[in-house]
Amino acid sequence: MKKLSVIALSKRFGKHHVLDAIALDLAQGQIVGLFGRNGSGKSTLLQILFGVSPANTLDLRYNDQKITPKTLIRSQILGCLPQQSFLPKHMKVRDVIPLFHPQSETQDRIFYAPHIPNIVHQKIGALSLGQARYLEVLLLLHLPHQFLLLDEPFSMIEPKYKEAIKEIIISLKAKKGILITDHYYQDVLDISDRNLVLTKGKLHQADTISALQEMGYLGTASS
Amino acid sequence: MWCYYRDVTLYGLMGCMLPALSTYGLYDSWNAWLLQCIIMFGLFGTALGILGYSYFQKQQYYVYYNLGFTRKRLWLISWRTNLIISVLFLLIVRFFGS
Repeated sequence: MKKLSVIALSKRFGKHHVLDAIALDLAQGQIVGLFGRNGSGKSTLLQILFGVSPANTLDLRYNDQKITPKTLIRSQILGCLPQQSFLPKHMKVRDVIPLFHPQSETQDRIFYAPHIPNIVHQKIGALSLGQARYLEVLLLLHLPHQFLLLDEPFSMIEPKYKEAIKEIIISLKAKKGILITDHYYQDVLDISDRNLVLTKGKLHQADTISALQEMGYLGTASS
Repeated sequence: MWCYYRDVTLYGLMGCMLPALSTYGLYDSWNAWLLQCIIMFGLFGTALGILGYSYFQKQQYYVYYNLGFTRKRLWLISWRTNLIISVLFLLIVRFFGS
């Protein structure tokens, strides 16, 4: 079983410690939920792990061997779904799928995934935000990468698409380690094995709604 | 990778077009002007293209990261390809131009 470990990660913006000595383990076969209020540093954490944003301190290990985010990208070990839409808007759905997945078997799985046949001839720019997000999530989930970072995979997605995404994530769980962050906490809780809350730059374990309330992520009226 | 190269090169060509057109009258021959355009594109075209891409399509870098390309590798391949093409065009214009 492969393992990706953050031994120490710190990030400061001026004097403000956004991420303070963060430590995190992600193993294949595990889905970890990451919660935190707006501006708590969730996306920054994901961007640092993916090498898009620099850290002040970063000690990252892959199977206990020191590794850099750039090596994770080059070796196609780690994939990342960013918060913003990232697919080329001028391309058609039917052309984007082979760009990500040259193997015909994987292409078929995406082409025949729920709802995709209806949008296959459309340009990415013509899709609704939810349809584009659904396609992005599908493309990412079917990559051969062992670890995936998903930043708000459920945002703007209609309930039917959400259920399809959850089913696919669960079906791929054995092969991948997935870190998900999303404010649709119930959707994340439905599929995650364990959950973390980021508050004041530190990570805390919080596996239940009441734990999320105690950590200040949810109000007391949430259920 | 081809999509990235194409987009960067288009931005680069557009970026080089304005200075190229504005200096058209300064050269005695069409050949000399063309040589200057090719040199300008070979030296600065890719950098301008990368700037244009980073400004207008920055988010699309995630496509390439997820496919195993780092930003540095994308830049290097684009720069090398455009340099080779520019040198080939330079030779063609130099030896076969009228």
